[in-house]
Amino acid sequence: MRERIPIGRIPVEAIVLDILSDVLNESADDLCERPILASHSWDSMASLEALAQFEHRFGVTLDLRSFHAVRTVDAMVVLVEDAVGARSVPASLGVLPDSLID
Amino acid sequence: MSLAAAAERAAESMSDDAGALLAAVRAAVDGHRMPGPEMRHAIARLDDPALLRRIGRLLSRLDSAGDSAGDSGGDSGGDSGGDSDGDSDGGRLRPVRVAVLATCTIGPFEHLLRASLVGAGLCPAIEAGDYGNFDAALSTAAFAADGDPDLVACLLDDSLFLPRDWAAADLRVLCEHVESRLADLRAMVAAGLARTSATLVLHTVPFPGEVRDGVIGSRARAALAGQWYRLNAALLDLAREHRHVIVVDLVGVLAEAPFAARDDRLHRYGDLPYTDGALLGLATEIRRVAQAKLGLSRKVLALDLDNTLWGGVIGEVGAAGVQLGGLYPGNAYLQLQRAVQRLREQGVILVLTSKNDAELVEQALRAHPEVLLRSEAFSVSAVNWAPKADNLRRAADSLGLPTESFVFMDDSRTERAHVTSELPEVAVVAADGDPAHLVRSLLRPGWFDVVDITDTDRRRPELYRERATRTGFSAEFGSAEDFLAALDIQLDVRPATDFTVPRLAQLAARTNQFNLTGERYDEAATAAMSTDPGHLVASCAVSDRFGDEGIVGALWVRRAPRTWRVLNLVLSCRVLKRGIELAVLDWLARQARAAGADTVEGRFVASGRNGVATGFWPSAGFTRTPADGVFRLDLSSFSGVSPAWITLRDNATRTE
Repeated sequence: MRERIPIGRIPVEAIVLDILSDVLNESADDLCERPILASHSWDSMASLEALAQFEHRFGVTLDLRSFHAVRTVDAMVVLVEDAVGARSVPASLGVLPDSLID
Repeated sequence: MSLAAAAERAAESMSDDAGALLAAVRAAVDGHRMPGPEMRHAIARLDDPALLRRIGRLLSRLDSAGDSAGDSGGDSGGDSGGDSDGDSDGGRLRPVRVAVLATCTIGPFEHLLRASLVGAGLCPAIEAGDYGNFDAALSTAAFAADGDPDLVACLLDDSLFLPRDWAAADLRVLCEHVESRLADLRAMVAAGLARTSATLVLHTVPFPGEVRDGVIGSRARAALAGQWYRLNAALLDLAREHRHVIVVDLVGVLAEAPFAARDDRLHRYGDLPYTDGALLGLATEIRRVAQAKLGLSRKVLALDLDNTLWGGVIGEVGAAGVQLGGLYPGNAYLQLQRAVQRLREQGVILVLTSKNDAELVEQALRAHPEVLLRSEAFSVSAVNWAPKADNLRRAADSLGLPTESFVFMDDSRTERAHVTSELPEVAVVAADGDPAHLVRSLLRPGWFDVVDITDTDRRRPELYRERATRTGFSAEFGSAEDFLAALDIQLDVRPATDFTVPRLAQLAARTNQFNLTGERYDEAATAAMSTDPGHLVASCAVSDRFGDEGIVGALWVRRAPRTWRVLNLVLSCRVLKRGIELAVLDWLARQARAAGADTVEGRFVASGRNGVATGFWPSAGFTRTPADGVFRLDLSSFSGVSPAWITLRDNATRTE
């Protein structure tokens, strides 16, 4: 059986990217190359879908006004990181288990 | 590793089960396949709205009208195969078209509903109505672009009944507004129903706390709450007033839910008054309606004994030592027996499956003073040391029902896993954990729901007990004819009445094997045809030396002066292989000839499940016509096809 990796050992930005990638049906590479959300299908339904997933996955409640003001992937990462607070590990991939590092 | 690659691995932070299930669904969708039975049952067991919402969104990428859809499930037969990767039986999911109308934003409800329906073995095509168009769409039955859907799910919120603003000083005005809007809704429902054959599903509406708490007088607040209860009672009454309306009690569901029903942020932000949890509660109720309406309800409950129907292991503590009745935990097991007994009273067939010494179990079932489910409550008893999956297969054979109609409840994770692996189509209920939850675990999924309970439902456990006895009796005869002659089969065919129409509609929905055309006339259509001189709807009841099977067949016929056209003939799998269908056809041909017709015409439409009926028309003397699937009988040369071992009762000759 696959080992579950504690959420604290995955960078917040990776999970945010995974969720945005899932919601927008775009690859993570595409989102990194074009980080402005409006350049993808970031409509009200997509944003609410992402909001639901962020809040569920991280167990946080995001401020809707701040969420609504977000324009880019990077800004979204910052917003979620702020909400997650100390649980976030900055973008050091070294925290991932060896088995997950290419 | 790049950040993008890390993002792809981020799903690893989900729980094993959730991550694996999501990955499996994604793989199925990527392969353009509906999930297989094991995956569907995993979806059906989920109560995590966020995960279900995600699964529903993934599933929306499948073209429900594509090659993964098809006919499936129900009363009769079927393969027990399928795999967890989701391809082999995707073609046998029962298609269902659902339109969603809402007085607010539909939002994630569509995804939650889709996941719930797929989890129940349905292949949904969901069409969401336009925002702000509820009244017009309902009144004009403008539900879908291409014809009537099967169901119209209405998502209601308090905005339908409340004014934008109201004065606390005079609550009479507010109450009158609520009553007025209820009258509007009644009128819209009536107008819509006049234009559609779809079934409307409505629900009770929670009383918003901000209205309730906005009234500071206790008496006034109670009066306003009373008005709201009357509104919900009136909504529930719509189901009694209209055959094509079903109302589910969302308020009752939410009252026991362990989560908030409302999300004020999303209500203000996007007119999404309900939380995902509340929407999942509604989706679950609508899934239960769809299952019942389309005949996918389960018929058989197979139960373990030790630590399921009583506490403790009888082999260790003896019959007198099991926990049953009295104080906790014995009272929890007794409550489960009561709940099971009530299911049996409503037609659920019970099978006992226990790895135990049969004599010891028999002693406990006979002598333990607190036992409610005595031996005779079980249509089949399999108390032995054989694998439970084998026992379920044997029970299915003995009852003449497919394992797809089984629900299996057991406290052992190992036994459940084994049954799931061997028979993925069997719905499994976990009986481990605190026994206080046993009743809820069994009942909450609504596996056994039907739209209406018929007399046949109530008598079903006894009917199937007789059938199991009959199966043993057949072994005593040298030929099938000898056996059938000894059965002393009596057939009673008669025109439908108000009392038999619900059962006939139920047969139309549930019967798959002997279903000649796949036309599933519902209760309203059957009732309409039964009183129309241009049509004939007939019920077929069978009895034999072992008992009365009740109504087991239904016939829908369009009558023209010269030609009677059989729209459909269905027969329960309980009575197949006895020539009943030929006797029914014989009756029909004689009725047609007596009415002056010279031809009876019938059709066969292959569904993938009705192979048993392929040769029916030629076997009844019909000849194939150039038209595809159409057969014709010349009544001038008809001399009868009823088997000698079937007696047609005298009252069957009445036609009107």
